[in-house]
Amino acid sequence: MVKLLARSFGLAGLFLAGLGSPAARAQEKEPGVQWDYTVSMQMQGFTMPATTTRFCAPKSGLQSPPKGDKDDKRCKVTDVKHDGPKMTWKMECTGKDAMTGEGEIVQGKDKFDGKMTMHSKQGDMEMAMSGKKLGGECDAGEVKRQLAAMKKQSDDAQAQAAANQAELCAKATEELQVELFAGPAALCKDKAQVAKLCSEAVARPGYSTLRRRGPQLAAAAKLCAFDVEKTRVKLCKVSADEVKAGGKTPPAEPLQFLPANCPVEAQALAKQECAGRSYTGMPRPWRGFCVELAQKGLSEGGDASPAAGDDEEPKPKEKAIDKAKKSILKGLFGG
Amino acid sequence: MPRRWLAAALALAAGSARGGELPDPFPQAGAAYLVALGDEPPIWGRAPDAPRLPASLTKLMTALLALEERGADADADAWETVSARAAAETGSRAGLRRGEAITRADAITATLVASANDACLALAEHVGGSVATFVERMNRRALALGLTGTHFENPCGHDAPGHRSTARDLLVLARAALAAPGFRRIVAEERATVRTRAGRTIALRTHNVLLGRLPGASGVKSGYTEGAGQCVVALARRGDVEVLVVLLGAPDRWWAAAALLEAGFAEARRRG
Repeated sequence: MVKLLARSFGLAGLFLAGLGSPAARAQEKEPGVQWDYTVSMQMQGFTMPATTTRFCAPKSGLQSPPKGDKDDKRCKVTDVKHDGPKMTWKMECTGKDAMTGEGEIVQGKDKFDGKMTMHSKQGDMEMAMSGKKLGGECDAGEVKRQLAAMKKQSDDAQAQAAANQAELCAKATEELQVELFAGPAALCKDKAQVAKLCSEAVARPGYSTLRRRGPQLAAAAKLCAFDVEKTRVKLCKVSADEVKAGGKTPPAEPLQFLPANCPVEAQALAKQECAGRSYTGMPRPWRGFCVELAQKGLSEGGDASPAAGDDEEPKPKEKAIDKAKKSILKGLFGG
Repeated sequence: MPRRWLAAALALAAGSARGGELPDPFPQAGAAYLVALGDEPPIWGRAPDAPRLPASLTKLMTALLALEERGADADADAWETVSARAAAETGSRAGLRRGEAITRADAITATLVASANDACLALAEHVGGSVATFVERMNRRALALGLTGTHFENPCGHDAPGHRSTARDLLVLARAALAAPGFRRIVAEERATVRTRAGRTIALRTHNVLLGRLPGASGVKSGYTEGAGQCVVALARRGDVEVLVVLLGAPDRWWAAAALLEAGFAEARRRG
């Protein structure tokens, strides 16, 4: 409704422009005379208060009905008829705010009266307009120039908004910001971007990122129609297989994926690769994996008891200490 | 009687000033621990105010006093002769011999990098004039830092009746030491070389196994005695985030310290 009214007011503005000679260009000066122009609108019982605008109309008078802006291909004026001082026309707008309408205007020497009715899905809108000549020399091209400037400003703002949204959605795709794609009020709807986001959501890095963000994984599953648990099981199997195939130097990425996402596979590998090993004796690829598993071990309940230690200072009970330490580490890694 | 009431009130006030119970998500980490992000109050902990033997974490105070005095005295890097008592120190050693001389800067490096008890005692003797005087200064500095759960009986961390600290006090002490000029650079060194006046060079290697292995590990100090168990104050920095861990009486301090540091970084990421 609001948009339609705004558009209708736009048409009213264009009506003013239509008062100019068809040959006149926006930038040109044109001899004119001052008029007061009053317009009021009514739509579904909602009445906009009448507004009066002082403007400079061309001395040549109204030659054609308000036909919209040249660049506005959504509206076209048809069936223009002149019958003495009376002019009638029809108008059709297509697209998002599609509407049809008809209008008439009766021109006198010092005044004009007219009306325009528009029909849209939202209902009918009626616009009444009248004009009174005041006299005085002026530049009738000024209105057109102002309207052209306003349109340019509006077009620039729209283009900037579109560019901003495109940038936002591209970034949201890269960063897997599911909330911008999900729901009926989703800001980003580009199918290619949705497809890219969905393909990453079911791959290891994307899955991990979304899982860390909590509800976003479920939102992505809904958007992309995948089953979270089945995806996790599949990724865990692939990761465990890749790690096993890597032998002593497993690839880092599947190894990083396992502790947080695949407790069964991670625990099995921890028993094999972490339990009983010192931090210093741990090969580099396994260290981060075992530290993450150690975190889980440290979180388990029960009192920690200080063990007889090892390393830097005297080592009077080294064998006993090693034995105790291995036992602790086995506990830590579930071995 | 009024004095006893006053003491009780002060103790209560101190307790509340230190905050309530900390979350303890890692009960298996050690007998006592604290994890802190940057200069903020600790986020997790276990028995933070329980008195514990601090082992070689004591040397944080020794090094702090030596660095603070060195900062004020341009001649403090003069040669310092190693006494028979210092040369006879047991435990971790740099291997200094009686009568050899090293600079105070090298003594601090050996004390911090290799936890060398011989260098530590030599430092205490020269900075304090005597070991007893130095220990008095350590306790005065502890009071000045508000370390109410700390008392030192010796400068290098040998187990002794009355020699005690707490995880919370050691966190405060570590932060004070990290603010001392040159301290961060020294504790981040994996290897160092000190040279005696006679030209003998001694290669030292850090006891901190996280250095060079855990991304962002930046030092600080480890310690072990039979009474204290495995202890460590560990620092790591990644980008703008710094995590400091104090861990006392740990079954396996390096796995635990690495795990606590990683958990600290994860928490910092979560907090944004």
